[in-house]
Amino acid sequence: MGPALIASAMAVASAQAATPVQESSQGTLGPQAVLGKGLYATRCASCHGPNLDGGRLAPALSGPAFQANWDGKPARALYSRIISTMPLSDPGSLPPAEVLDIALYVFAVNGVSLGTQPIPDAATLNNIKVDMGHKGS
Amino acid sequence: MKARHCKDAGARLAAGVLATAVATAAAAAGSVEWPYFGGSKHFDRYSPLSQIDSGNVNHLQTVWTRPGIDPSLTQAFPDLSPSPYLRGTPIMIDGVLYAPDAVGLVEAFDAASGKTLWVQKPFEATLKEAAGVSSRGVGYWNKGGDKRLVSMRGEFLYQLDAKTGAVRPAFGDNGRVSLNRHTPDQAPFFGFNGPMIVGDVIIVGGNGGGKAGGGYGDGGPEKESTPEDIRGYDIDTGRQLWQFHLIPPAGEPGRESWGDGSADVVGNMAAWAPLSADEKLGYVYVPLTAPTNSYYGGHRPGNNLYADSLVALNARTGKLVWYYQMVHHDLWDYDNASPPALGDITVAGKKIKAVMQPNKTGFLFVLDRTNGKPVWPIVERPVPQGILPGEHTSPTQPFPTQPPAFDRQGITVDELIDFTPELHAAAVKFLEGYVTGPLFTPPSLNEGEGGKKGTLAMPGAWGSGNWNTGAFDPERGVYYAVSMSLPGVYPMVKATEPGATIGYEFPEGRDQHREVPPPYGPGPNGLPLLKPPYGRITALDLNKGEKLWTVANGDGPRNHPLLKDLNLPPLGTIGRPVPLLTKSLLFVGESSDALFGNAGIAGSAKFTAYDKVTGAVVWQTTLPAGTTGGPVTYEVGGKQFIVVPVGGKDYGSGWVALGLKE
Repeated sequence: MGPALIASAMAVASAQAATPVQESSQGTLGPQAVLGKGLYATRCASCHGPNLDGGRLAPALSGPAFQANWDGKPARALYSRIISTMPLSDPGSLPPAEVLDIALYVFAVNGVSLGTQPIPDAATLNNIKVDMGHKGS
Repeated sequence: MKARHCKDAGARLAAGVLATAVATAAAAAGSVEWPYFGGSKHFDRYSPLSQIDSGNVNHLQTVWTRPGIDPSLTQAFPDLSPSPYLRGTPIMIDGVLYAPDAVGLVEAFDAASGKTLWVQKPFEATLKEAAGVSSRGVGYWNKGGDKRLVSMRGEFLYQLDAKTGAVRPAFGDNGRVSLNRHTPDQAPFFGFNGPMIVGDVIIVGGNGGGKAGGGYGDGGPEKESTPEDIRGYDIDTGRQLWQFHLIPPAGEPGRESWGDGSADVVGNMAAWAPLSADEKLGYVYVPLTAPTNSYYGGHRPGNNLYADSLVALNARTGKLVWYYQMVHHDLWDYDNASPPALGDITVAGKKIKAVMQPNKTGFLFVLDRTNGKPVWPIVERPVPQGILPGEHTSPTQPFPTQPPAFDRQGITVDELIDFTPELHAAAVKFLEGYVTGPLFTPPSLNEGEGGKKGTLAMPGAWGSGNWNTGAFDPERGVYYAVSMSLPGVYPMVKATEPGATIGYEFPEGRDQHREVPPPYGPGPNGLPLLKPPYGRITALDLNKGEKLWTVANGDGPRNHPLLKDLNLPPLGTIGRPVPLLTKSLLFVGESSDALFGNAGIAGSAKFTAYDKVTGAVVWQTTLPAGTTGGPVTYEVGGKQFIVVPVGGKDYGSGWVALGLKE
């Protein structure tokens, strides 16, 4: 992640001073992604793995196969998939705000930046295209 | 003169009545139904239709398709983005197809044109109520023109008016009944089947005994779970009529098969696969699965009845008629994951009403369905013992003497891939990292650096047999087992995380079929570990208890860079395609990446018609995506159709209807 992006993330962080910004192995997580990380641990990790590598019943949410699936799609598509199908035993039960934060965390883990502004709702994702850097693969 | 006139008039009247009767019979004869999603409640996946045969099957073309979810739903709920795993296997009754769609809502469409007749509305107009998972089929009930559908969706059992798709308010709470069980962790019910209806009783299996292991309890860190008891409900009110306890209550026979107080602690064992029923006998046949946590049983010494058993229940009362246990003290997740097909056979001159139960082990258990007695001897044979501390392996397991197993069992170097000496050597070296042996070699420790990585078993925990396995020919007494050869790794670790109450568990986040890169599971260079076939069809003559033939289903890895120059025949594709059996043909797809995409396994979109007598390929086509549910066949207006549920990552999902060119 380049210095410009980190600077932007810091700017966002200072604008929302109460919410922490965390350094992680994937680079800096914005405040919503930080919330998403916590939600992921309680809602998703038991099936999708603590490091998003997948599990016995669930696909990986990081890595080349996952990135190939979502590269070039509207960011809203991942939100839609999560909110309408997850968890498998009770699809549609996750609140929209939680799904948004989880989606942003998953994007962050995969090195996807969705810009520097906070994302207040799912509709904001409609016009953002996912760029996983897989051109022509 | 008058008498002759009257006699002539009478003759003309009689002729008129006869003509009308013949005309009515002809109209009815132009229609042959597919009344249950397994073909019939015998779950034989068979139709006697013969209009499509080996002479004209190559003239089949797509006559219509429809999407796996009606556009009215995606328009109302733009976030609806269902998985492409469209299990929905339609029924055809009186010119109408009824199927659960990609979110498990029931859709009714015209059997000739595919046009929408109605779509079940979400119970409330919210995304939560619109969201859901596809199920395998619906149940249909009709008394004197009062026609109803029953479906399982999420935690609920729904009843709909078959004419309009509206919920029937008198059933349960305004049209639905909650199937949630009381579990220690408030786990929701879920089930992928269609309900079975016998008389006026709806019989339901399904899961939801606890949250561990994604709701199955498999490999999880807790031994506490709830048995996923079988329940019967009243067709009119939805009131629960009975409950069959999967762990025998205190004082009842079989309770002693649970040691150390485990009968009060563990659970799961669900009927995950579809049920079957003999309406004349009034029995429902229920295939059961493994107890918590499927891979370790130190806390549950004993045979653990009725885990991994087939039970025959009186459909009206829920009382046990008989049981047969296929696997004692299961440590492999060797479930009865297939529907118990019913059919009549004649063995050594004696007519037997049989039930045919495949197991994940690759055995087909053939029993008398009136009393549970094996048709051919099933012998208890000694099996490997050990290995994890505290474990209580069963000293023996049941081995049917006939018919032969329908897929590979156990691993030795003789089973390893050998297209080239290099591949064989790589496979031998790979095997050295694991504990291996014959069928029922127990799970072992993942020792980490420098040690063994657990047990490599064949079959693995997804089985050779699964819910797709089985079609039965009532005319010839032949059972067709569709299976896959996929070894699995059992790399057990001590459960040490906070809240763990079980001795050993599957490591969190691991998948036993992804030990090496996809697409074929453990093996060298992304190729399978074993010799082919990797996906197969086995024809078993159940009048004689003998194997007739085995054919590979699908190309498999024959075009892999290391193999393509060897010009190999079809090697068989790993997957779970559901067969369709007709008067002369057996239709099988290869299933798609919608099923096993996680493990990097994806069948092609090919759909093949085999000669059911010889196993020869008669015809093959390519569908828009691989199969995801059961193909069905029926006749309307004198024309035979085949409808196939398909789905894949890139296509989405839908139903494809095939018919003969005019």
